[in-house]
Amino acid sequence: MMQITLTVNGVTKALTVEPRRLLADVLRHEFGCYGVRFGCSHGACGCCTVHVDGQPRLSCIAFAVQCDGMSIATIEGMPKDGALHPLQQAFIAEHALQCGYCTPGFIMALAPFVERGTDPTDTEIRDAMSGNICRCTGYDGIVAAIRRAIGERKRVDSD
Amino acid sequence: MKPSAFKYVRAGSVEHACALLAEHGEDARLLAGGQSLVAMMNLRLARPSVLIDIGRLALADIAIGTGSVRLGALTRHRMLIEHLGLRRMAPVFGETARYIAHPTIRNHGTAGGSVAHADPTAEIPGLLVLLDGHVDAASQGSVRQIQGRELFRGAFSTSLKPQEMISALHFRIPAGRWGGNFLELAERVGDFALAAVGAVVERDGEQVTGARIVLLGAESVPVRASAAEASLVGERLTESVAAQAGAAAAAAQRCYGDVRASAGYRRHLLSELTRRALLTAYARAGAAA
Ligand SMILES: Cc1cc2nc3c(=O)[nH]c(=O)nc-3n(C[C@H](O)[C@H](O)[C@H](O)COP(=O)(O)OP(=O)(O)OC[C@H]3O[C@@H](n4cnc5c(N)ncnc54)[C@H](O)[C@@H]3O)c2cc1C
Ligand code: FES
Ligand code: FES
Repeated sequence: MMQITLTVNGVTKALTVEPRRLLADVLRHEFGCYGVRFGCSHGACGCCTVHVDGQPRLSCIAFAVQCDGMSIATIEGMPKDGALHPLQQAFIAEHALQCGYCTPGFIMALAPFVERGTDPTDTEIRDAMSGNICRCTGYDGIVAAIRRAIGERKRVDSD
Repeated sequence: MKPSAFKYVRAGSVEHACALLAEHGEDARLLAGGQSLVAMMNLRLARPSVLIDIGRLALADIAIGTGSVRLGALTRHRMLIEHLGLRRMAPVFGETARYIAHPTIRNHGTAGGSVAHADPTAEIPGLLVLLDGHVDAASQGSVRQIQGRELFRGAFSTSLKPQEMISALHFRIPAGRWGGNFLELAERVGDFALAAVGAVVERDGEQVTGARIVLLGAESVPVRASAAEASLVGERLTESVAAQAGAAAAAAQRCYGDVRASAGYRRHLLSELTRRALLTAYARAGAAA
């Protein structure tokens, strides 16, 4: 067992964990972040994407002990001041989800892309989301949501 | 889908990591980006009893010298795409790295880990062999160089000793006018390649003065198409010369077949990708100042 400290969505906790516990598992069971999903458990589907020190990372192929002292954001931390993140809103507007199992992973993987993107082509958007698999909705709505969120952000930026 | 139990130690330096490797022997594994190893542990294809985390060591640096590029072992794949010096001096690094996995994985996967993991169609091992590279293999009290061509022994197998850690990778860049290109075909964006080809062409006016070709998907390790390379020197690299070199490079390969592609299809891909990569590299060499 090892002592570690994680800050998750702004809340810092000291924990004692077995080294073999995956970050996704600790986020779900020690922090109650059930929006962190296991799809494949080997890096192939993107379902478990969270931000570690601001950068997207697959939490199924990271051990919690590796992230000792780091700051983690999950889908639960995305709404600000009671408002959904612009990409979450765009997912709703464009019907970019059905069952929603894959959605937190898409949002976490693509939020940084939306926040810095200017005028990506469809190919660039599809490259950016290539690590995430959706098993039920298909990808057109997701591409549209990403495009909408970037457009929305640019409109706000230029105001 | 949970790994078996292990002891976790965070290394504070290369020396510390090497001392830990010496102490724990074959039961220990280094953990760099974890993008291959943790997946293998989840599937219980790997069950190390000690994990030595080198992920926080300050080894993620890129240095460009005259005729050489040096990557610290923890250089992330993404840095190869974004590094301004590399984009100017040797854009083939970024072009190659774009084929590795997906953006999130490229944030964390490392050059050293990729080479040590030695997947048969991994891109960075391909670049190492293409650019006549070598690695620094550190062990307690010493560092030896291993040439890229001697490093890869077979699928997921290298000539690194269990007590050795890669600390840096070195690549040789041509001095004169040159161009490079890397092309691959995979079933989906980010998947491991069915076949891939890297080419470097040096030229003086219209004439090829040097050529290097690496093939991935021919054998279980990256191989150079030496005869095809030699046949190009002194030539003008026309469409038909490139097509002949591609055909010759591929015909010399045994190639393997598996559920994803037959040996014949892989040979066809290698021939076509070689033709295209040579033409692009030659054109880029012509455009280079
Ligand atoms: C879905 C998915 C798709 C992928 N697609 C591709 C792809 O298309 N092409 C590709 O090349 N890779 C691909 N990868 C693998 C990825 O590039 C890995 O980052 C890389 O293979 C290993 O790097 P790492 O730093 O993550 O190493 P780790 O996973 O930490 O380690 C891998 C192995 O190398 C050893 N090791 C690590 N660092 C060193 C060192 N400095 N010295 C000695 N031994 C060391 C470890 O002990 C372990 O055995 C993919 C991975 C995933 C999950
Ligand atoms: S669950 Fe992590 S990538 Fe699939
Ligand atoms: S919405 Fe169901 S898997 Fe994507």
